[in-house]
Amino acid sequence: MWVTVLSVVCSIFGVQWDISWHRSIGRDTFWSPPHLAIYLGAVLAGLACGYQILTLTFGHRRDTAATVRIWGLRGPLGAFISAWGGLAMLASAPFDNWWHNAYGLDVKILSPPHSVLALGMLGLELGALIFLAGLMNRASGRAQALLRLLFLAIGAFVLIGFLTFQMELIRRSAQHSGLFFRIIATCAPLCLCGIGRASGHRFGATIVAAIYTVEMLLILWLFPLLPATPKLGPVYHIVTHMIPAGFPLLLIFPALCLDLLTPRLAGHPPWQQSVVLAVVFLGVFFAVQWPMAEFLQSPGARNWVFGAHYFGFATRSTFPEFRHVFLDMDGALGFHRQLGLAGLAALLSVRLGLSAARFLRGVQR
Amino acid sequence: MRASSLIRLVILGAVLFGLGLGQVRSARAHVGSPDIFYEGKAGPYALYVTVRPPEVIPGVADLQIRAADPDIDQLRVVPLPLRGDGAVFAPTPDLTTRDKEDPQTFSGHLWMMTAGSWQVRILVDGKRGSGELAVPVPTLPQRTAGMQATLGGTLLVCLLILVAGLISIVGASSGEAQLAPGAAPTFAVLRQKRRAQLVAAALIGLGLWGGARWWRQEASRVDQSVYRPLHMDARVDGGTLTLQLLSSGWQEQRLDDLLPDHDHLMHLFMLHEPELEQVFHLHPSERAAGLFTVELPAAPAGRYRLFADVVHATGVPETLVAELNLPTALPGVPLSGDDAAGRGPPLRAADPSRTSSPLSGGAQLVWRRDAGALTARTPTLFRFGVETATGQPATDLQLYMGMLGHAAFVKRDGSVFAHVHPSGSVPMATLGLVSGAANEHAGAGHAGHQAAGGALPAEVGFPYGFPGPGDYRIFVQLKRGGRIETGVFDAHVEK
Repeated sequence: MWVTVLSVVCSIFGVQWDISWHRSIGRDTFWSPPHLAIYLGAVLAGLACGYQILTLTFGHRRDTAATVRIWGLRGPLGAFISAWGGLAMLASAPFDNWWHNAYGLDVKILSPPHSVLALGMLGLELGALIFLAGLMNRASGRAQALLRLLFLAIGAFVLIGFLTFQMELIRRSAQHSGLFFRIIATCAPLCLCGIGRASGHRFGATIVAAIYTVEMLLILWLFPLLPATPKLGPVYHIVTHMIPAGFPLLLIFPALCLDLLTPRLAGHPPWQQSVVLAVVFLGVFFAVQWPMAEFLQSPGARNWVFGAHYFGFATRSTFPEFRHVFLDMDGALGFHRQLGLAGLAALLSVRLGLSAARFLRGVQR
Repeated sequence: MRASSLIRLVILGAVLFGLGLGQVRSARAHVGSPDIFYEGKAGPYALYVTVRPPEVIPGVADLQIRAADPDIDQLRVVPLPLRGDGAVFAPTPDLTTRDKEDPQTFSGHLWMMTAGSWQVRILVDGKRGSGELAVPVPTLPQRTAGMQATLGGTLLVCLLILVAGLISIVGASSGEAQLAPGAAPTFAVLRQKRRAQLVAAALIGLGLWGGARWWRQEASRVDQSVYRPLHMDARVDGGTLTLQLLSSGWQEQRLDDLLPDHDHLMHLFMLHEPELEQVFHLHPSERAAGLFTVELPAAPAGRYRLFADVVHATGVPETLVAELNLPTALPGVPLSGDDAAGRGPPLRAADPSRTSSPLSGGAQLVWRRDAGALTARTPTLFRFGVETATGQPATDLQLYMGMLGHAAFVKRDGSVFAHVHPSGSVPMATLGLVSGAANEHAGAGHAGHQAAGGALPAEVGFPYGFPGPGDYRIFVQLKRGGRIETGVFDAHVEK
């Protein structure tokens, strides 16, 4: 169990480190320390899950009752999913390498090989989550409380993974576009409602959002303490330390509202609950994030606390981030239609989250 | 939770993915000879630099640097754009690796991140202090690549395992995973498991179709970014050759930003095919943006292959290619200025072992080549000496367009063409744009670029390496006693 959790931490931390590495140093080799951390996560997950599955299938262990059977092998469902994720991550490496040789190094996150890697990492995280759900659902007392905390922590990593994959579309200069709210409405309610509720904790969603916030703040405040200089050009700014990601989104406020509202909605049909929770999530998030984005573009945010003055070496002086202006990312759809789609996305995301929570609470093996 | 709930969950997830995560919307100078060869000095240190630019951008360039002297302690390299904001701050230089067998040779690898005009700065520290040399490198995406069968097969196996595994996992999730430990699945549970697997298979198929479409879009986008030189149309009216340049649609290609290179906006090499026995080196004048004309000298009838060298204001050099057919021989106009014509034996009489070529007045141009065979992709210094009729070194050499000589390396089938100077394959106009480094170029060892009036040596060297095996013709042009002369040689290049 601990190895599985460690593998998730390795991968998620590796991704954050890698992004900072790209902004501060640049990709000089595939075998960079952050890449090693990401793939160490995959290897750890594969080894841990492989050990579980092989000993439960071929060993003399007696605890085989809480297992599922796939291709003649026995093991916890989460172990199979994590192993699947690890394999997908490892398969993405030669695919990604070939992609670079065939089309050039992609200097963006959204690419087919990166999507395979992201799917693998999602598998790794979901596997760990389901594995912990099975243990948590069968445990009681202090053991259950510990498992619940681990479950929520992994849930926060799932949220971070989703947001990281979309980070090009949710950066500071995009936060006054309808598309930004649509992206957040797609990812966040699913994680907050699904994992928060599945944990059985009264403030599950809030804890997930709090862990996300703390991790992002630690990255923001600690990474700049590490020295770094670019190894790739063109260099538009002198960089002397690691460049962190931006200030965390204020998801903790809508998460707290979801938690406070949940007991009042008990007994209502899931779709009714979804409508209320989606409206509340989007409304509260819009109300807090819009002015926060405004503040982050102001001179008052250009300090170590909010980090709006950090730029990667490749940020040109013409980029919106550098000029502290907002970017119109809504295209032909326009702001209001994008916001309408954000509402629809929030509704489906909450509904999916409720179904996911029900599924996770039912996992026994 | 039963299978029906799980199916709903998966479908909802797919819709959500579509709503939120599915955001995807979606030659260079010389022909067939992409490597850069350059000879220059970094402070007191004479270096022969070879850069093999990446074929895809961003990609990794390979460097090989040979020092003339053994007193270099360390040699560092750093890439940065030739001009603009990005040329102000340099990234941290990389230390090159010293060859174990030849300690005067260093190698390194550098990332070239954008298409356009870059430079590699070479920083030398040694017994005679430190020095710096900048080598311009055009970074033009040359191709996209297919997938090797072995890798494709491996990835296909991985894909099949992952798809089959995912379908099985969905089945287990909707079946056994929801049962109490030890409980056996009922027939109803098994039936729901099958339904969940069918839905999962359909959604995975949909996902794979979407992924393949995305891949095709990305590949198409990259294909569009592959470098395409300017088009050039050639026609002759009377005795006037007109060259019309047209944009190929690659990036923001311009026709009105050409820089003079040795005082000429265009250097045109005109080779008589198929025997390559006649070569003209002409300098058409610009009449309007992209429109050049030149009065042709006397030329035999037949087919000609045209190679025109131009340099853009960005520093990116291009060689434009065209064909021309002269139905009848042209009486032509006398050659003037820097225009030149030369003759050699026809290709059918080519002799790769021949090392001398006759010049006027009984003099000859002698190719001072090593005894070994010429091999592809090997940086070489091609040395040619001018000897008088009595075998003495000539003393009447003059600068030809500011250089001791010009050489053109042409593959018989026309697939390779490189116009090389004593300093190497980098156009002088591009060298003039190098910022920050005071290059002392043009081959310090053989005085390729000396002030007029000084005593010029009777030998000229050209740093170059053939890009592949085959049969090549080398045209060497230099100036003696006010006359431009051409020596013609043949080379057989092995792998």
